Amino acid sequence: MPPILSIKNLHKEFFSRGNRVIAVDDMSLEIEDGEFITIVGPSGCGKSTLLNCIIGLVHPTSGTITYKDKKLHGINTDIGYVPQSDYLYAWRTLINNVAFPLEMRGVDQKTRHEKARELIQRVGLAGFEDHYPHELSGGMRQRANIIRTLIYDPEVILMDEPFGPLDAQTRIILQDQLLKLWREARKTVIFITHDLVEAIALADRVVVMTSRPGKLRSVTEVDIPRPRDVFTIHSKEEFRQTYDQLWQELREEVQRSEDWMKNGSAS
Amino acid sequence: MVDMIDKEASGDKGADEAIQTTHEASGRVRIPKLGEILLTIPLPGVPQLWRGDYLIGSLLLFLTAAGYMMCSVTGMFFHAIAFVDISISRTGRFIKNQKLRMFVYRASFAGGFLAMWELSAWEIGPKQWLCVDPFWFGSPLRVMSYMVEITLSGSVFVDTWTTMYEAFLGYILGAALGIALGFILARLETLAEILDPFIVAVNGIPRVAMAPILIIWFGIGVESKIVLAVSLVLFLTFMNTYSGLRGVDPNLKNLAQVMGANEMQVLWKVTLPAAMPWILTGLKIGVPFAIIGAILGEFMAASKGLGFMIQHTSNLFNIAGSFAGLILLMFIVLIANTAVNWLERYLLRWRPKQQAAGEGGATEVY
Ligand SMILES: Nc1ncnc2c1ncn2[C@@H]1O[C@H](COP(=O)(O)OP(=O)(O)OP(=O)(O)O)[C@@H](O)[C@H]1O
Ligand SMILES: [Mg+2]
Repeated sequence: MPPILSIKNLHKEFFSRGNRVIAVDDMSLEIEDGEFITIVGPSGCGKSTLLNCIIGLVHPTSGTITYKDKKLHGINTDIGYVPQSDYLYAWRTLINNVAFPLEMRGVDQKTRHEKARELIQRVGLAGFEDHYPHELSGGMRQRANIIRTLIYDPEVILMDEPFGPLDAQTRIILQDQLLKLWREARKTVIFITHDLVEAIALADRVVVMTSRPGKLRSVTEVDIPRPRDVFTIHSKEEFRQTYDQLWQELREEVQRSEDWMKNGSAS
Repeated sequence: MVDMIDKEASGDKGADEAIQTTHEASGRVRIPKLGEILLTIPLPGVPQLWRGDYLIGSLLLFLTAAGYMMCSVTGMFFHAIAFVDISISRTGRFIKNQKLRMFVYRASFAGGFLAMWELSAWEIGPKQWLCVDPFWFGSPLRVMSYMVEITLSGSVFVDTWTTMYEAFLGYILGAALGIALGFILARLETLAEILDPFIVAVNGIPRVAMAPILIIWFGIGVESKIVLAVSLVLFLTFMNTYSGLRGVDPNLKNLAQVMGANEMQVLWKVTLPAAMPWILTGLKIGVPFAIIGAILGEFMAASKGLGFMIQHTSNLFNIAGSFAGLILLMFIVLIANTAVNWLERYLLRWRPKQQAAGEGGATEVY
């Protein structure tokens, strides 16, 4: 079977205030249907930019992205996107925020509210359906942000540090839920995170990016059998090995990124 | 006017001479009375309004007002100011309903003010009782009787309706044009950039200065007033709509597209509600300006309307009549503001309370 998404020699530069910033440099990656990919890398290395290119919000400087053998132009609505910070609509109640994608597709109110309510229940937000975003906590907003993408069942889901602002307990519970949802629906997921434990626990393959300019450093298969238990996975031997290896790589990159910043500020 | 001052000055001189002569006749030093001393203080420009013999009255008025404020509330004379507030809230406490209590306070404040005004204008004997000459300041009863008069003659309806009609039509047209223009220019960025200095320049022209030309162009009927109101409201709503639309976070729009919204849906479901607070701010500020436009036009040339009525009555030194016009205007603005506030509270019900209050406070300044 051909890969559902294939990225070839992707290159993206930004020009801002007279500076040229290379965000993504010569990146190639093939993603199979139903795969769970996690991406780790130092801050500012171009992870969000990569996702923005895939979704079509950012136009690559060069290189191609093909989705199901078709070259991508503009926004692809088959791909769902959970952005790094929640962009819930402040003038919509929680349920109407979650149901927004269905509303855009012309689904009638009863059906879309039913579906939204079910998801809201699943992530433990029941009772807050008619609250406005500013009346919810950061973690609650983030959960709404995630289920808003799940509700319309996109083929591929891109998640940009979706559990970033959450506390450790909520995080692990949501990881567990995400894995269950993924097992049922078998979607292709590309998931950015800063947390290496999370990256390994969830992934089929972990992608490590270099510090700026963001290149592909390594792709590592995770051979931990599924279904996985996110609560105990860190005590498994295979996990240990993968973790140590990836941590070594990541540390080098973060170190390089810091050196770069120091030199950058000194000059 | 010069005449009057001269006469008054000579009169004062006469009084001085009179004092001198009595002094010489009796052969003793006579200490002038307080009133006489006060009378010798020259008051340039003021004599028409606050003549010397009213001065004592005005002092009395001040003392009575201070005394009234304290005694009516606490039942004691000259209570320390610090206690006044506490005593007001104590006195009112027998009214349990908080809203009703506030209403009673406000009603007594208004009633007290009107009563003072009325009393000070009463004529007892040859002089006014206190100091306010109703010729210059009118009095509540006079205003009311004038109101009754114009109600019976029916002219109040014509005038009020005319002004409301002009202001309302000017407001609706101006707001619609302003919002539409805002939407169009927010889309056409290059055009907006080209037009920017011209828009700022045209908006800089004081509308009073434009009024005469507008009257030549549109005649002395309601049209010129509507155009004036439009010219004021249009820019306000346009500026606010435009900057509101430009200020919408592009991420909100992008994300809507990712979630499957088409361009129209992005416009209606994301851009418009996101810019709504700014649009409503423009609409709110526009309300008094619509009325300013109408009145301005009526001052210039008109045969009906509250602006015309105020100018007409003041030309005839019918101060009570002018006050009647002002009061009617006040009520029109109050009602219009209330309507727009309702609209805002409904459309922005999603906003946190504090934020809404802050915004409201800022827009009251115009
Ligand atoms: N719109 C833009 N204009 C100019 N430069 C940009 C733009 N977007 C991103 N960049 C630059 O591209 C680089 C990569 O940014 P990106 O947001 O992809 O990083 P990231 O890996 O997601 O970082 P983080 O982990 O902190 O979210 C940064 O140096 C940033 O300054
Ligand atoms: Mg990012």
